[in-house]
Amino acid sequence: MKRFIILFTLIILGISSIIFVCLKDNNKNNPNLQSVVDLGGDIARNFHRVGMTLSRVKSSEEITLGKKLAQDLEQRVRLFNCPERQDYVQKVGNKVAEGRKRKDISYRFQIIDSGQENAFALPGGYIYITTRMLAFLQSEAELAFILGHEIAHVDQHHAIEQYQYQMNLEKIGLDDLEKIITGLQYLSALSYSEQQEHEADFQGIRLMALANYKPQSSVEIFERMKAIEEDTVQKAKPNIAKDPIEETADVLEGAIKSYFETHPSFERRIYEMERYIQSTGIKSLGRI
Amino acid sequence: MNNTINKFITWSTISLITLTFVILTWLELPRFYLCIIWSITAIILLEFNIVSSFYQLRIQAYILIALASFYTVFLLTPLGEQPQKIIISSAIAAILSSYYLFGRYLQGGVETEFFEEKYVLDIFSCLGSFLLAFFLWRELPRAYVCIAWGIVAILLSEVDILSSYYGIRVQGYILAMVTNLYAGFVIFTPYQSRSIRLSSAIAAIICSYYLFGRHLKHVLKNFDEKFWIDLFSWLASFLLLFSLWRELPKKVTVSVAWAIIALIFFEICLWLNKKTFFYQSLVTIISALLYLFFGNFIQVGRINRLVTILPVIAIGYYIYGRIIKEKVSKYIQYLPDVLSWLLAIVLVSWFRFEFLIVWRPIGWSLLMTGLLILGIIFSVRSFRFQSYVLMPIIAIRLFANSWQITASTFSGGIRFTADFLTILFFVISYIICKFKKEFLSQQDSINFNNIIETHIASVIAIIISLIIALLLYLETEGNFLTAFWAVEGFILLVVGMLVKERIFRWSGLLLFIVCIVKAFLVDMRGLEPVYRIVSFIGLGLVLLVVSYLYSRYKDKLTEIL
Repeated sequence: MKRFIILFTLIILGISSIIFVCLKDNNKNNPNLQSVVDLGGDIARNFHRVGMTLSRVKSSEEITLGKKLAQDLEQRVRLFNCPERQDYVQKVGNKVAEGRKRKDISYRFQIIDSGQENAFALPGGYIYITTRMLAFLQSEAELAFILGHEIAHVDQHHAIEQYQYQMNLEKIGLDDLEKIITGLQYLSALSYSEQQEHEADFQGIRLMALANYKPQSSVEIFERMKAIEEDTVQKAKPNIAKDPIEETADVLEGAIKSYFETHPSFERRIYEMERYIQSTGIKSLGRI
Repeated sequence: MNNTINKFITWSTISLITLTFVILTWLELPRFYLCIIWSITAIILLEFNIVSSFYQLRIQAYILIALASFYTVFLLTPLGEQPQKIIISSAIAAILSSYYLFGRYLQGGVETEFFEEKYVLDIFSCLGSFLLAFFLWRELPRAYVCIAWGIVAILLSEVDILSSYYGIRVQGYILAMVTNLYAGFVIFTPYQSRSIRLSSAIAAIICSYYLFGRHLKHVLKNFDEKFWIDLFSWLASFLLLFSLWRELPKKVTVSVAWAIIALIFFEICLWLNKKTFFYQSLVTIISALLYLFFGNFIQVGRINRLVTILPVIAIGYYIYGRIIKEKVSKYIQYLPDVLSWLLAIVLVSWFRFEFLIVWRPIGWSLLMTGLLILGIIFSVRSFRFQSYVLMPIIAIRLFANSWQITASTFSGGIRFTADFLTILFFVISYIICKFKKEFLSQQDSINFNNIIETHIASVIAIIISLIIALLLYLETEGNFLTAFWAVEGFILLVVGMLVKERIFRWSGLLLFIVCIVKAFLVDMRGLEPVYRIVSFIGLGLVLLVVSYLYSRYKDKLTEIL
């Protein structure tokens, strides 16, 4: 009798959940293997991070490298010549950087005159934001998030991790700093993994909230970006699999593509950021 | 000689009459009546043969029915180009005459002393079945084809059971197989309407399960029946699963539906004691668990994720529990273990996507402790080993990921709570392994598993010592770190003595040594040279005292450590 009660309960539970989801779920996503990509990324990142943590370079070395990189970069790009704006960005940046973990690194914020919407960080605390990105932002809180996000890349060692092994080799005479610098990829090639982007998003939100900015502004940036993307890019109709084999082929293709994508989709970022804001109670911190 | 001439004359005359009859009817009769007349004539000839035992007449009957059948096949093809009523009349006549011939043979009316007519009769029954199937496919709307084929297959099976003539059973099998293949084709064809897909799938599934059920009751021994009935149950099960995949409006519910089917299969396995359903149940629940990775974890919303993953996991563990309780795993050794490990992987993955990064280690360590407890209570080794595997994974994850990120993204209070609870679960696991050793593996035999279980408490002790030391390293700086490590070392030493755990004592001593070295080589670097010299002299004195005490109380210390 007990067996039948359990059996009956499980079947009812299952059927109820199917009915519930069929009635309530508005998600139109095709099946995908994003979860497997994430789990694989987790494992790879864990191993990578063990090595990274054990071979950290000193902050002073990071600052030296960052300074050289910044000098080299600033010879190649056109900095925006407006002291007022420059001061404003520096002021907001300093405010946001207050909550950082690595207090031995001070931050310098520069505006680049560029038609691309972009912001990036070099090791040692050199943060750059383009004029186009500034024009895109609608509030100081949004600027605070973008700067906070870039600060997070430095604060969490993401920026230096790309050069860390090379620098350690250099220390033992297997390479030299000049080679590293000449071999560096500049802003367009500076890429972080999907996970690093999420991590930087979270810390960016935290830093802006600690500086008294409303965390929800961070989500608004990506919602606008998503809307623009949807307007401009004519999305192909989602392919509906005709059989499980085709579906498997589709999801594998999607998984391989997404594995090599460095930035997560706007939709995913919005989802993760909202989850972070709601779960940590950070929402109540911001006032501006 | 005369006998041969007589036979030749008889054959020639009868053949000539038949040929004349065929040509005359072909030329003179409307096409609507052609096959009807040929079939009626064939039946009359057959009946004359039965009455007169004049076997030449029977051969003519065979020829006429064959002609009617081939002509009908021709009409059913696009080459026929005849009105529908002609096709219908011809098909009905040919089918009925073929089955009539076969029926008379079964009744024993036809004498077969001249040559092996059994095969000829098989051919006619096959021809009748083939014509019938072809005719139904040609004339019926697509939604009814599988239903009709399924009914015919069942009828053929019933005739076989009544007559014990296995030839017709084979036809039933073949038709059921074709029904399943056709239903599969319909399910996977994108342009078919839902009604066609559903009717085809349901008909094929019912037909296959019916054949399976009938043959369970009537054990037939002409050839390898076991293979066929297993095959039909597998076919029906695959169709059922694929139909659910195709028809369910939300793909995230597919896993739940498959899990329910797996549960039903498992109950049928226990009820009928049929191995095939055990395999099907396991394959289905494993498929359901794997399908969760196709979209149930990300971007489905928290509630939807919960209500689709929980039932699958619950059903999975229920099946696994029953396998252990009912000792069904005698059928196959490794598949239940695959299920158990897969369930653990799904749980770990679920926690990964369900919780924020700071809470994930708590979820995993809770799972680790839970699996350990369940593994001990129910004597399930795979649960215990899942727990052991989780231990280093959590430790690495804490160091490599969680602590690095949470330090800059979460407040101190949240981090402290998370770390405290995680370490607490490790401590609980250690206590269980240390003091409930008798519930772990049998210690008398030496193999890899037993070696692990014997030393697992020590491994947990190492992990606990290590994660606390690393956490202190990441959370504190400079001289505070030395102080905290010293406190940890002291606590570990005391605890190690209290619970008689050598690993804790060694860890405590090691930490003390590290603290001393760090204090004198790193922390004192900022001091004035005079103080540094004094400190080094102090260190030297302390080490001298320690070595003196060690040499004096060597035996006691060896006993304690």
